[in-house]
Amino acid sequence: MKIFLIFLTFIALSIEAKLKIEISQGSKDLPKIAIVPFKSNMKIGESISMLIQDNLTLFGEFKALPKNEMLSFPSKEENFFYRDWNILNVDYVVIGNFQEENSEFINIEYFVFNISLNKLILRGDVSGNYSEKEKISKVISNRVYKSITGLNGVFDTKIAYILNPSREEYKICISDIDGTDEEVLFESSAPLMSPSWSSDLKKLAYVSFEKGYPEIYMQDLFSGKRESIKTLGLSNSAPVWSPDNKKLAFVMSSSGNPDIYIYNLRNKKISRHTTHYGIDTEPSWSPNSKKLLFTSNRSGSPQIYELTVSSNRIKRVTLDGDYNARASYFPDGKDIVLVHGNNGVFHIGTKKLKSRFINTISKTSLDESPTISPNGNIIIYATKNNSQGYLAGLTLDGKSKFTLPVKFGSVREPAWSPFMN
Amino acid sequence: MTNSFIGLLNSIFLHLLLFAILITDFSIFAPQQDRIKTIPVEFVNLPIDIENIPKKINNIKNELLENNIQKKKLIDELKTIDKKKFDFDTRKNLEDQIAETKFLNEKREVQIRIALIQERINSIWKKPSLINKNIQAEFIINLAPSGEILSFDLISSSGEKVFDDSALAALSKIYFITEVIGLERKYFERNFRSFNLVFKSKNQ
Repeated sequence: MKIFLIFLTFIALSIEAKLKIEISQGSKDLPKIAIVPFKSNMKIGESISMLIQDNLTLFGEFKALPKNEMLSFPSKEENFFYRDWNILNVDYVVIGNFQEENSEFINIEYFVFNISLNKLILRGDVSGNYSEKEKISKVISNRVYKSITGLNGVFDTKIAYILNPSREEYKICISDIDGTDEEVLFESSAPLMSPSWSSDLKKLAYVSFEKGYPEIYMQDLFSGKRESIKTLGLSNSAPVWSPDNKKLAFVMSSSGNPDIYIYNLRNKKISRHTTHYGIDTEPSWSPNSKKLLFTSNRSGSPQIYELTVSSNRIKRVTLDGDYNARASYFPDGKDIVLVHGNNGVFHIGTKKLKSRFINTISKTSLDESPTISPNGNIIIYATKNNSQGYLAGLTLDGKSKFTLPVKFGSVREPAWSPFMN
Repeated sequence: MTNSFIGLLNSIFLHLLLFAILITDFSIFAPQQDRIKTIPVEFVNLPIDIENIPKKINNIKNELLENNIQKKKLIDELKTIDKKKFDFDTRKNLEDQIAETKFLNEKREVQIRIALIQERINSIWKKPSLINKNIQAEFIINLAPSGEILSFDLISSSGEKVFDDSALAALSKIYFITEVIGLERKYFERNFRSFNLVFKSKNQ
C-alpha cells in the first residue's frame, strides 16, 4: 500500500513537474511594416503604396519603415529576399507591381510577407479605374490588414458626426474614416443630434430641433429625402437603428417622462418598453437585435441597464461609479463600451457584461459618445480641449491613441458606419 | 475327568512358571538393587573470587547468548532499532531542513529565470489585437544547457492563425534563452530542459 502511494505521488509529481511559463503582455512596440513603392511605369506606383501606408498607420497600429531606409525595392516574389528586411527588424513587407496600367485602367498584383516566419502570407490582385486609386488602395489596405491581424479592415468605412462651426450653425456630416471626402448631409440653425446609421448604409437617422422641439428624421443618403417619425409624444430623441435593419429604438417623452420605445420600420408601429418614472434614455442595440442597453437614473444616478426586447425584462449592468452612460455593445455582444464618470471626471471605459469591473481606457477627462469600429478593435469618441470639441480614438490594446483631423468647429457625437459591403 | 484335571494343573503350573521367569529375568515389577550405583557427594567451601564474578557472568551470558543465536539477534536488533529511531528523527529533521532550503533555493532561482524569460519574450512578442477574444497558444520548448533553443513546437493552437503566427514569430527571433545560463545543472534539467510556453491573449 505504502509503495503504491509513493508510486502514485511520483506519477502525480511527474505530471505536475513540467514548467509552464505564461506570456500575456506582449511588446509595447508596434509591428514594423514596410510598404515598398509598387513598380510602375507611371508615377501612380509610389502614390498607391503611400496611400496604403497612410491607411495602415491611420490608427497607429503599425510603424512604417521610411522609404530611404529600405535596402531593396522588390516588386515580385522571385526578387524578394528576407535577409534584406530581417536586418532592418521589419515584421511585414508589402510589395506590388502593375500588371496593367493606362490612363483609364489599372491592375495591381501585391504580396505580403511575414519576415519573422519567412513566409508569404498573402498574394492578391485588384483592378479598377485609374481615377479610383484611393478606393483601390483602401481595398488593398483592408486585405493586407486582415492578413496580418486576422480582423477585417475598416479603411473604407465612414463616420457621421455633428459639426458645430458657430453658435447657430449645426451640420450633420459624413466623411471617410480618415477624415477625407467630407459631405454635409443636413444643416440647420437649430441643434442636430444623435446620428445613427442603418445597417444597409442607405439611411441615417438623427434628431433635429428645427421645429423647436426634438424630432427624429431618417434621411436617405443617396436621394437626400427626409422622413420624420410621427409619434404622439412631443419629445423624441436618441434614435438607433437595429442591426437587422427592421426596427428603430428611440426615446419618447409622452407624459414628460422619457422612456424607451421601438419603432417597427415595416408596419410603422410603435411599442413602449420601459415604464419607470425615472429617465430612461440612450438605447443601443445588441448585435443580434434582441436586447437593448440604455441609461437610466432609476437608482438615483445614471447607470446602464439591459432590456430584453421580447419580455421587457430589465437587468442592471453597472454598479460602480456615480455616472455610467452612453453604453454600446462590442460586435461579440459580450462586452460593452461606456462613459464612466466619477467626481466630475469622465472617461471611456469597457466592461464585460458578466463582470463588475469597468476598465478605463481613455486618458482625457471630458470624453463622451464613444463609437466602436465595426471590427471592434478601435474606439472613436468626442472630447474637448478648451471648449473646442474634437474626435479622438484609441485601439483596444491600448498601444495607440490618435486624434482625427481638426475640423472648422466643434465636432460631437461620432457614429462609425457598419462595414461597407 | 481325571485327564482334564491333570491338564488343568499342568496349565496352571506352566503359567506360574512362565510368570516366575518373567519376574526374575525381566524385572518388571521389582528393580534390581545391585544395578543402581550411588555417587558419593562432598560439600566443599570454595574461596569467592569477587573480581571475576562479572567476567564469569559475562562469560555465562556469552555462553548463553552463543547458545541462543535467535535471542542474540533479537537483542541486537532491538538495540539497533532504538539507535535507528534516534538517528532517524534527527536525520529526518536535518534532511527536511536541507531539502527545504534546497527547494526554496531552486524555487527562487527558477522564479528569477521565469521572470527574466517572460520579460524577454514579452518584449519581442507583437501580440495581435484580437478584440476581446480570450485565447491561448501553447508551445513546448527544448533547451540545451547553454540556453540554445533546440526545438519548439506548437502543441495547442489558439484556433486563430494570426495569434499562433505571432507567437511563432516571437520564438523565431530567439535562438538562445540566455536567462538559464549559470543555473545549477540539476535545476536546469528539472525545470528548463523541456518546458511549456503559453501565449495568452489576455492577462487573466
